[in-house]
Amino acid sequence: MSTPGFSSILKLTELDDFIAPSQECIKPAQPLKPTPQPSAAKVRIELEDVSIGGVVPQVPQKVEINLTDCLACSGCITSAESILISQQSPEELVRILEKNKNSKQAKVDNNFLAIVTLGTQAVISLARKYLVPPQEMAERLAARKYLVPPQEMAERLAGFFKDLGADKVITITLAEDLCLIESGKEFVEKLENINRDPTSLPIISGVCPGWVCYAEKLHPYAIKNISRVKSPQQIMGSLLKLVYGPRVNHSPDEIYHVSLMSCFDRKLEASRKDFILEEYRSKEVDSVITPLEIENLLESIGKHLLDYEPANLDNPFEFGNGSLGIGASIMSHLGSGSGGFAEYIFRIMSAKHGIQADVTWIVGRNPDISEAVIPTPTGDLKFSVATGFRNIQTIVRKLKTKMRANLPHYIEIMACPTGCLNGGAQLRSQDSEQGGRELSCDLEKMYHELPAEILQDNPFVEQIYNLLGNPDGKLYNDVLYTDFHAIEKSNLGIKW
Amino acid sequence: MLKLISNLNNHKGKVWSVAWNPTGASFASCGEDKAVNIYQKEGSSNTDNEITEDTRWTLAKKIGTNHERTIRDVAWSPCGKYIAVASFDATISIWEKNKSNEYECVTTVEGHENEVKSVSWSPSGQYFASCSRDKNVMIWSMSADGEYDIECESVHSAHTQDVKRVVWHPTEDILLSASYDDTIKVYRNDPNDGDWACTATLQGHESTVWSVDFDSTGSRIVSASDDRSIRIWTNSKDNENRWSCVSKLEGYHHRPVYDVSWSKTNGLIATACGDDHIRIFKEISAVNELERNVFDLAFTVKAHSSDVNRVQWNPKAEGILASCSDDGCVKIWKWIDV
Repeated sequence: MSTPGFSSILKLTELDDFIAPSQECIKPAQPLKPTPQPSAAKVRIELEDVSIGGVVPQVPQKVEINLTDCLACSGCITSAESILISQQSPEELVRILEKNKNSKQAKVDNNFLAIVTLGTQAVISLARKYLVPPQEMAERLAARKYLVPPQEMAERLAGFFKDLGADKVITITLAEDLCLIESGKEFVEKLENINRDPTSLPIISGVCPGWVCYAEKLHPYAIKNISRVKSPQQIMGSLLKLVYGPRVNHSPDEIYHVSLMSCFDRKLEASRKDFILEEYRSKEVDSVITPLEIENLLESIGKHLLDYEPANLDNPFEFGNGSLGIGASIMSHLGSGSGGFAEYIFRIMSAKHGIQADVTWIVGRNPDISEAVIPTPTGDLKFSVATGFRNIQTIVRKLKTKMRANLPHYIEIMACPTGCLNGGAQLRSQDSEQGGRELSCDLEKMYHELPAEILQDNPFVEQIYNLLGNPDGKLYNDVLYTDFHAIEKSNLGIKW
Repeated sequence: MLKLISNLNNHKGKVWSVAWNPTGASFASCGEDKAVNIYQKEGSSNTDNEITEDTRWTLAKKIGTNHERTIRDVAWSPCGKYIAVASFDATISIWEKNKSNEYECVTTVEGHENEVKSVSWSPSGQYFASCSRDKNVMIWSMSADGEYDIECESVHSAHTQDVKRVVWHPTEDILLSASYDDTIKVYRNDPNDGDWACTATLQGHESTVWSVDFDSTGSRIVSASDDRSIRIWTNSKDNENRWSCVSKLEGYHHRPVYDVSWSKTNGLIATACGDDHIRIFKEISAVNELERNVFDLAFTVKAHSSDVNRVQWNPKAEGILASCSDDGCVKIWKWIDV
């Protein structure tokens, strides 16, 4: 299985296990008894009946494979992977956006809203390639002459998507803020309860779908230590459909939510059962698109991103006097290029212990793992940022043994080495001489050149919390938390 | 000629691998019965350390491991203290001899998704490598400061199919892997990058490469393949990452060649074949540069009554060869130059 775009971890665990759990290859909700055929048994795959704008998407509903086809290949191609990708293909996205644009132009009231969320790492990847040659960019940045390129890229992307037919294009910062805040709360709570349940630590971030899928499939014992806070992508999805939607008289299936992200693993994440709003048969995130796909799409229509006029970024969470600033700019977070989860939690714990120091991350046994420590009267509080499969391997191993006592209290794990800036679907370097690690360094520099989000200054955060209501309530939990599920290995009983 | 010294029948079912202890004074074998047998020189007297054609070998220990499936490979650490055991149950176990002279399992390494096919320890002792049907080559390190802490140093999914064997360079931490995808890959540690990288892919075999080995200097590689040939490869002086095939030995083997071992003491190449034979190839002394890398078949013997799975030259005692087979036997041979 050599589909580009996924993290290397997912490529090794074989996608089909995530979406085709049953040997009958049929979604569990509607079991179909296979009718015995005289020749060969037939296997059918059915998709989730998900509707977008009241219309079930135009993808093959049923695919029939012969059993002989099944046994001949070593990776059930029709299950999961290609169906998933076809459901979330750029072609499908363009088709839906175009339909929306045509309806709106014809002044047909379709009560349909297409919203695109821009993932920061993906924007940076595109900015680096499309905007200016490296030397010129360095000069520009140094002179602060023009807008910081990623901001300009975000606005060009807004122009691009709106030209395709999107109604709004927003940044993801607000969702990232909520994700950080909840991660912090969760950690504080678990730490306080550590005496009652020592195995509740370490807490490992759950925002990387590559890591989550890998753990669910191969290391189910790690599941209880994964943070239940949803990723920013999914938080934004439920915010748009469950909080914003009602305010503008749109039910979830009348909102088409696209997110621009740095890897294909996010497509898998968007398709999780837990992220389908059952009542409305609508997904929190309908489609994920990536820099690689945008590049291909532009090539196929013979256009360049710079052909599109920049458009302002929207802020659907404008309340009261609708002040902008946040929501209209691409922003970074302090800490790692993936969103600074460990850094944020470190800072709040630091503050709790009255320590006012900057975080010093010390690189560990390889460049993809680092640690920071808060000395406290009751012992050191350890935090770690670990990326890449080899470090994940080491961590899950330790979790299983008595070595777990040596693990940090909070671990930010990302499947891709160096994190989301090096996601599986980010653009490759144009310079063939430049290695992956060098490119990651460049992207990280660009990321940290962005204005850093200061959570406390975000007025919308408080307002959203007011709207979410009671922390024990359904809305609060639907928007901010999720669960994980161990995946049963399908055992065909073959012995070698 | 190859003279049979010992015929050891202490396994039930196929014997998949034999591995010499770095001192050459003992070896381990493993197979379908999920046990690891440790053999020593018979009557190891303290005065006589030499291994000759008269040395006999006997079973010293049988380790009934807790592996749930066939044990496919076994490897000693260079210090001789540890044995790594690779199993089809997807795990690798590490064993150490304790004070009562019994082997005990100090840790189990999980990480591969399915059958582990081979395990091998690096010459520095710092790393060991494993490979599996999951197409991955994994490099591990073990810190033994009382805790047997295993760290995963690197994972490579460079091969597109089942990886059959991993073998290290004799003196440097350079790794080779052989695969069902017909290629051999080379891996080196790049300190600048903080990670290992696949630095070369050797293509040429027309089918699965079952095994590889380096010559004593590490400048040449011999490979054994399902295509019934063995090939010799060298790298260029100006680019150590560019390997080319300088010799193809075809027509000698009647079935897939499952293993190849290049003696570090006398330069002989031994092969293990699916036609039950062991063959010895000897290099012809070259008169000039162009005539290098020419090998002659020096000897062939029907060594077992079924597929020969492994041949391994003793690392210290010249001319001593161990072999094992599907026929359940482990045999020790002595090469006698006639």
